[in-house]
Amino acid sequence: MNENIILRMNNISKSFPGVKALQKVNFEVKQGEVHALLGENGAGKSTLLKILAGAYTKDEGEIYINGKIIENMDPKTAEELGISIIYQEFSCLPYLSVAENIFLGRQPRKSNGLIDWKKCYEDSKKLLDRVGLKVDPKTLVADLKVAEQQMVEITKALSKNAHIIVMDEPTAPLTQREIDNLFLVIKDLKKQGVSIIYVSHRLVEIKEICNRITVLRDGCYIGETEVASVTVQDMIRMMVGRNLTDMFPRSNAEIGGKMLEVDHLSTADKLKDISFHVRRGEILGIAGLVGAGRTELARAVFGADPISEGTIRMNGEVIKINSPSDAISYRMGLVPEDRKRQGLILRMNVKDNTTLASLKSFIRLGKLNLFEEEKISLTYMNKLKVVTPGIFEKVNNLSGGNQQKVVLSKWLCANCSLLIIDEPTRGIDVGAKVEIYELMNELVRGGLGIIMISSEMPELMGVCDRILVMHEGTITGELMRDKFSEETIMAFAAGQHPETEEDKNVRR
Amino acid sequence: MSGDKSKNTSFGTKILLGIRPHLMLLAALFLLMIIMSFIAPNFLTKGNMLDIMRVNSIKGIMSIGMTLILLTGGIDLSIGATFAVAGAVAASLIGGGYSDYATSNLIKLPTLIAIIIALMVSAMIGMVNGVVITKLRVEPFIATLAMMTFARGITYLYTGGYPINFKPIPDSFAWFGKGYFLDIPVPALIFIIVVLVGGFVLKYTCYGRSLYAIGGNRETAKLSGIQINKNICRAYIVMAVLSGLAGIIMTSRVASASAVAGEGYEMDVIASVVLGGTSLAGGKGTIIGTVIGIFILGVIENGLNILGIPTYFKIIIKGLIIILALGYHAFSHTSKKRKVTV
Amino acid sequence: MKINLRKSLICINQQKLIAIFLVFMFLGFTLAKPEFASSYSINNILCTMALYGIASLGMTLVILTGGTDLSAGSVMALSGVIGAGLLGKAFSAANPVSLPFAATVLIALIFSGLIGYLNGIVITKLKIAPFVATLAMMSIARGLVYVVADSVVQGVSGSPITFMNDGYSLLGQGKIGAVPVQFIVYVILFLIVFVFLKYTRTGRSIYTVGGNIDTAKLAGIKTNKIIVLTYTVSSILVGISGLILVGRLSSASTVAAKGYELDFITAVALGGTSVAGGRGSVIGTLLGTAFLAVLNNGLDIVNVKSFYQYLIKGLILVFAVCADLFMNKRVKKS
Repeated sequence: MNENIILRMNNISKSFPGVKALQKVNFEVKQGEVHALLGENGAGKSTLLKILAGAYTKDEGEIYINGKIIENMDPKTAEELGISIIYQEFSCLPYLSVAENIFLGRQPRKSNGLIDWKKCYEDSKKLLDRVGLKVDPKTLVADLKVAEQQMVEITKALSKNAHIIVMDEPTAPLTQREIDNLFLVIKDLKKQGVSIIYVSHRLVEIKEICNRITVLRDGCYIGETEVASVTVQDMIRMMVGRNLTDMFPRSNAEIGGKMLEVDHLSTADKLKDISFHVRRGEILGIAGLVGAGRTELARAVFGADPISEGTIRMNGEVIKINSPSDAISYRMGLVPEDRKRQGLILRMNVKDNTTLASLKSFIRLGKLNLFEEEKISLTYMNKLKVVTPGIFEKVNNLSGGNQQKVVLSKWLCANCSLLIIDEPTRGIDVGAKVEIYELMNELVRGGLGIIMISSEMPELMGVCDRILVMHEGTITGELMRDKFSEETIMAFAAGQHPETEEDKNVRR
Repeated sequence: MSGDKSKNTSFGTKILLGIRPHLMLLAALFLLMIIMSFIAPNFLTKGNMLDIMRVNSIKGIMSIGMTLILLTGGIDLSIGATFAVAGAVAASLIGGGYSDYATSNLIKLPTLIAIIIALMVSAMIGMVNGVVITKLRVEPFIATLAMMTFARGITYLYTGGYPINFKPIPDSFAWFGKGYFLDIPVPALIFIIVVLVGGFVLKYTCYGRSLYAIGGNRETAKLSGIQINKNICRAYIVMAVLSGLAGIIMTSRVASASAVAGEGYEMDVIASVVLGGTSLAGGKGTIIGTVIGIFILGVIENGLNILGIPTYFKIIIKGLIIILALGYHAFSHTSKKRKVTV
Repeated sequence: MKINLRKSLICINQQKLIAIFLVFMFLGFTLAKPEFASSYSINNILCTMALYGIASLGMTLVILTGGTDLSAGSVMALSGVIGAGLLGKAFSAANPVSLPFAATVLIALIFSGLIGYLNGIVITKLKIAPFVATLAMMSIARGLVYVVADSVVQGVSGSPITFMNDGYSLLGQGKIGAVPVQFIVYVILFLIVFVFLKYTRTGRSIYTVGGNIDTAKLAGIKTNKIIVLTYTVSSILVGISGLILVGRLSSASTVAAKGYELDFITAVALGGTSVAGGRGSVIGTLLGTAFLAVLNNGLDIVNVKSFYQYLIKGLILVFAVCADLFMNKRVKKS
């Protein structure tokens, strides 16, 4: 491998109002290597990458590309220097062709100034061959699969002559076979001398594909090492940096009878024959890879998406849930995965968000009792320790953790007895995470049942009493607390241990 | 006792709080009025003020409905046509209503029943709008654009293109457009009632809050148990009924219903609502703002009328004011944002 | 690959659907009234197509950026009164200006373009939603129509400018062979816009801006410039339609083209261009325009009363949009 240091970021610091996102972080990438950037959510990875891409300006520190110091990094300079970022949300335009997306704004032209579509298609074909994507460049991106769209993004980066390609969670939406293909492409790019900065939570993958890792924690640089010299456990220790038991307080709640029972639930497009139950005072975890159908399950149970088959029982009684409002009337609540798009109304204030799901209970003499609303919201604000100037503050101005607390307040205010929480701590900094866990524990001690969906293994194993594992729309495994292990869960999640009939019966 | 007292004081402060976001607009309105009273000495007379009230009450009633629609993130272009439908239906059913087109003279009913039928026809138009938008998922702009053509067609079909006049207009019906109640013109009175009800609904009912939620973030609203389709449908029905009401009042005032009545009203109405700070993107807006918006446009129009400024200058000035006002909104908004991030 | 092909076929269907309808409608009207296929009637259809089509080309550009232009009708009228007013040959004209045909056309189009430019500036700089910005401009431009008309004909306010001019007559009434001049103008402009949209980077940028403005910015496209340009070009096209209207009647009315903007939007939407922006083509708009022209003339010829025409048009618009949505849903699902 070439030992040239192509990128060096020295002592980078960056602050946002109230938060030190990065403190003197170092990061360097060699030519032709795959370098993993590791850290929990909120560790500062995306801030660092945005500085690299020129989307943010650094407060302090230096960036060297090929040994040359770059003073003012902006998106254009970054692109000219050969830095390309492939975001999780692809930026392809669905209704334009593959070729056009690759050459967006840089379509090859003939001498008369008109676009040379023939050349555009030919050049695209050549570039697509480099990543082994066999589609007609004239195809609309909307007609491609997600993995193919990702390849188009990579092709786009290559067409700009990128030397450094940043991939942010590239395998999240992919199937195993697509991941294998992606890795082939990455290895090939490596041979062509392209450096890849690889961001992923899947540590096993990092073992497989990366050369070196740099670990960040709470905005600080923790260390850099060869992948070959560390185990997955070491990586976790570097990332988390503390004892898992401190991080995950136990609830010690008394586990009661079954409250929610789901039998043979199926939906038209994703879920197949799912059965499980939740007990009072229990935190039930649902693990699985992205796309395994966890969020779909939550939405189906909550009535947000239609169910094609199956029954749902609440406290032993069969109930019919056709819409979220039905679910709410049975005292269920859903804290969705995407807080900003599904959990909150950003331009509304804390109070209005808190009472959103329980407005009817504030009706006095035919009108909303605003005074009562304010009083109750204030109670929850204090109880959940929401840090905000007041209940009239727009939730848009709150930090991630506090926003999540407002979503929780909404369901507490609706007097919910079963909470489904999808990715409870996504995008929340470490301190607030612990607070959220403690809150969940307090709730189950009060007799609630909680279903918690999470992609973060340590979190699931630390908080849950029981874990269900999903794979491609079915439940493939169930583990009690004493049987928790990352390997078993991963195996179930990959669909490697198909559950026997016997297991299924036990769960019912 | 003390509870009562705190409620009383908070009522006053509540009004102040309600107005605060609109201070700039309100100041603009007062400034306009002061300027007008200097230029046109008879501007500030009671008669003229009542006149402004009466003239603007018709579009004002529609603006209240439009505020609800814009809050959901929708739009309704069919209100001018609904206005005409309701006017024509009411006029043809009321005794004394007469047209050269025979079918308009067939049935005669008591005034109140005729009005109720006209309002029900309007409600049906609104319901169709709502269903097409929520069930067929057609964009509100296109759906109501189609309804605008369609409803206008119904009016022509119903009237044969002939105006419906009155020989003579019954007093019971004339009262709506020309009558006075305690010295206040009846249309203005109806407008005031609609404003109060609208303000109450938006502030003090689940329905009002739901509209803000739907416009603010539809997915969140749905997942919080708010019934999106039902609430949106209701907003379009309310909008249509209010347009119908305005159409009936207008018919009464001019003692005539015409198939071309209300053409282009949708634009004026949308303009005044947006001027009052309601966002076209949904989720933001108030009745107070809308009322101020209506009167800003109304006062300008009135002042220009008194001054004898030709119509075309009026529409130019109206357009300029909309751009300036919204430009100011946008400008102050972005500068505020910048402050937060710094 | 096979699946992709099928999906793309479904995608094009909206245009195909309109084309098929068009053929059936044409046959239907001809069967009902043979004179529908007469040269007189065809001529009418071509003229209607030209009048609506040129402005709809402009509207297509604007809608592709994700915007809308409600000032189109007023700009049409404004272009008309400026063009006619500057001739100085209007009956009872009081203005001393008297310019040749070509100069009046040029000035009228410059002013039209200026209105579009202002639309663009207001939308991009003041960040006012296109709907409201062009709504205000609709009002302003209509006012200017009166200002111009009244300063030309100093009689009753709002009087039309009536005149005789060979240039305008040729534009609005002339024929080359059997084909109306205005239709030839339309075809030429159509080809120019088609090539512009398909073969120039600027043209492609319009799609990008409408598809995803952030992506466009990342791709180094100067989005504001593109939007301003689009509104300017659109208004110039609308202005040309306005001059044709004036030429057809030898008169420029102050109330001309009121509400036409909605017809233009209908033509564009019928052609399968998404009102959300980023997707569509002028070929679709051509079909949509032809559809409206055949429908209007056909309903006139078979003597359907104008109020039924309103109903039919409303229904067709909803139908077309539903078909579009339905097909898109299918594409997404499969």
